[in-house]
Formats: sequence, C-alpha cells, structure tokens
Amino acid sequence: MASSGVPSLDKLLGGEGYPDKSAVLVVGAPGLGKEALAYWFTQSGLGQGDFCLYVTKRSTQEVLKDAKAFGLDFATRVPFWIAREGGEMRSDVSDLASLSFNIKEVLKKNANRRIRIVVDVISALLMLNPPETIYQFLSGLFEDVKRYDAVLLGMVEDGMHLPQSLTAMQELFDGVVELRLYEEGLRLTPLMRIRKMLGVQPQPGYYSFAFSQSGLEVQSFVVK
Amino acid sequence: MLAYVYATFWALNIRRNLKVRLYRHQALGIGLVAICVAYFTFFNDGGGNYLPAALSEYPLDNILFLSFLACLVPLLYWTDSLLLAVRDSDPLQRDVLGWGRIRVSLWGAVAACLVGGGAYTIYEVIFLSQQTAQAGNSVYLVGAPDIINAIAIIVPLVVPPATAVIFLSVAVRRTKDLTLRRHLKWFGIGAAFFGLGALVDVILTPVQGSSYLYPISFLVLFVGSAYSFYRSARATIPMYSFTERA
Repeated sequence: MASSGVPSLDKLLGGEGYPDKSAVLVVGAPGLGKEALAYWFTQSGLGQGDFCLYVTKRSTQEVLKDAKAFGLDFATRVPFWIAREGGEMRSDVSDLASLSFNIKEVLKKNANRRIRIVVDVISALLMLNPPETIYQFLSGLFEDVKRYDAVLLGMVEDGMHLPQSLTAMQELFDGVVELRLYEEGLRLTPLMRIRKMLGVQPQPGYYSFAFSQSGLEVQSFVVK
Repeated sequence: MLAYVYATFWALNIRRNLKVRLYRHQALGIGLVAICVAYFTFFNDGGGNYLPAALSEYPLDNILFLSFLACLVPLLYWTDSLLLAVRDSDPLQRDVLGWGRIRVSLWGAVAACLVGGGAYTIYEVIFLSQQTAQAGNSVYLVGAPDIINAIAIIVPLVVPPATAVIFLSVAVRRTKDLTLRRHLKWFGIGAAFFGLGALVDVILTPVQGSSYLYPISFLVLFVGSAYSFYRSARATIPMYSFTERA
C-alpha cells in the first residue's frame, strides 16, 4: 500500500492508503484542490524513499508555488520531473509518443525501487487527442504500473470534457476519487467521494474535506 | 436589481469554496460585474436617464460619473482572470493574443486614469470656486485641458469593454474547456441583453409616456440580462445536487 499522505484519507482507504499496483484517478473541477492530493501523495513517497515521478504540463516552478500554497515544500526532496520547464525531462503534451517513451524509460531505470507516479496531463491530452488514443496510452502506462509494482495517481478536470469521455476514463482506473461541489438550497459544500477502489469495499458516502497548513482533513458527511 | 445581487451572491458563494487563487479571482470577477450592473441600474430613474435630475448638480454629477467609470474596472478584472484561466486550461499553456504581455500596461493605463480622475475630482470639489465649477458643469474634470479630459474618460470607458469583446471572443473559440465555454456563453448573453436594454431604454424614452412598450421591454431585457449573469456565475464550476447521479 502507498500512503496518500493524508492520514484521514488513508483510513478511508482501508488504513494504509492506495493499493499497490493500482492506478487511481482524481476527478475534480478546477480550483477545488485536487492537485493537493498529488502533492501529499508525492511528499509522502519522498519521505519514505520511494522514487516519485511527477508528469505535468506546467513548469516545475508553477507546481512548487502551488504546492507551497497548500503548505507543502519540496525544497529538500524533489520528485523526478517531466514538466514543461525546469524538469529533468520536458513534457510535450502534443507529442504523445515521446511522452509515453520518456515515462517508460524513467520507470525502467528505477525498476529496483518503489515507484509512485503522478500524471497531471490527462485533461491536456484529452483536449489534443481523440479519447481512444488516450485510453490506449493509459492502458500501456497501467501495464507498466503492474510490472514495476508502482502506484499511479492521475488527475482529470471535471466539467472540461464530454461526460462520456470522463465515464470511460473512470472505467479504466482501479480507483476513482471525486472532489465535487454539491448544492443544497443556497448552501454549497465541497465533498469527496470514493467511487471505487481496488480491494476496498464500495463506499457510497460523502466526505467533507478541509485544507489547512498541516494537511487535509477528511470527515464523514451526512446528507440531510 | 435584486436579480443582479442574487447573481453576485452565487459568485461569492462559489468563490468561498474554491482553493485556487486563479479561479477564486474568476468567481469574484463575475460577482463584482453583476453588482456593478446592479449599481448602474439603481441610478436609472426609469426615464432613460442614468443620472437623475436630483443628482445632476455639481459636484454630485462628477462624483457619480467617476463611480460609473470605476464600475467598468470589475469587467477588466473578470476578463483578466478569465484569460489567465483559459491559459491555465490550455493544453499548451498558450496566451490569448499575448494577454500575459499586455495586461500590466492596460491595468496601468486604466488605474492611472481613474486614480488621476479621482484625485482631480477631489481637488476641484475642494479648491475650485463654485462659479468656475458651474461654468464647466458639463465637463468631467473642470478646468483641465480637453485632451486630459478625453483621455481620462475614454481609457476607462473603452479599455475594459473593448478588451472583453476582443480577447474573450478569441478565447471562447480557442478553449476546449466546456465549463469555461458555458460561463462565457452566459456572460455574453447577459451582456447582449444589457446592451440591448440600454439601447431600447434610450430609443423608447421619448415615447414612454404613451406606450406600454417602454416598461415591458425594459423589464424583459434587464431581467434577461440579470438571469444570464446569474447563470454565468453558476457556470464558473460544475455543481451537483445530492439527488442526481453524477
């Protein structure tokens, strides 16, 4: 198991975090803070000495600045970056073949370590390519996740793509975590749902989440 | 007017729940635009006049005019945040027509004109004699050269709407983000209704006394505009209800 870096979320996921050899998708609207889950997942991995690969369409500087806003600092231990700027490798989302090749090469070189992967380019790839091409790319990536005993956390924007593309995407992953804004009269509440998780009993409930400098607090939420 | 305030309520409600600064700015922007439209319509006396007779005396007229100009700032603020959000959602992180390079200059020009205009208005209210002020009653900055007057009015009056029209029409075509598109579409409809309402207001004013057309068209268009702004505010982010199977 790979800790999510958020103790209260680990508890929800059966106690220890995301399952081994699994690919988990975080679905959420822009601005709700789904990247924070990736930052804590990465920080937790770095703390445990895991090899962490972070694939993003943004520059490393932008990601670090964003992570800092959530109270995370990668100053001492940094992941291996495939980023638009400032990383060990450049991420070019318009060149899916080279992106796929680069990820495979990095994983192969670090096959002897515990691996964590964050993929924050799925929405960008979905905008530039037909969904079938992305499903194929992800399927190939998931084979590597199983082969190298890794854990992958992918992120996709809610409301940005056609609903059918998103549904098909969720089918591909072993686990799906949703962060959504729910409306109850005049009240809005950001809630988390674990739609599915490999090896974990389905949990139909809603969970409220709150960010603080010390982390993320997830609590059960009762719908009135 | 209350409908515009309701749109602002939703925008601020959404903003409260967002964690990322860029999207918080976007929600705040649409909320401020709606409240400024509400402020603008508040001064409409129902006779096609946005500066009622009671308030058209110096120096109130100049102060009100300055506040109307300042009401266009939220439009620039919202446009700015939206264009940055469009860049953020773009897979290749492309700027819309080089917005990242020119935004500071545009902000600087508008701020300079408004701050300068505001400072001058305070100066003229305190230091200019009533006689001089009365003589230049139809002028915004009484006693200032014509060219300064023109710049102080034209820049804040033209830059925000022109920027919104030019840049956002490109942005809406370029972005593949369905939520952003919906947000922009509703805002565009709201702005069109408001523009049409203002136009009808001016055209029908002379015949309003003998026609039902004036109040009906005025109401329909402004309520349509308020509803569209409300939908735009709600379209900032996808929202779900507990009953629907998302």
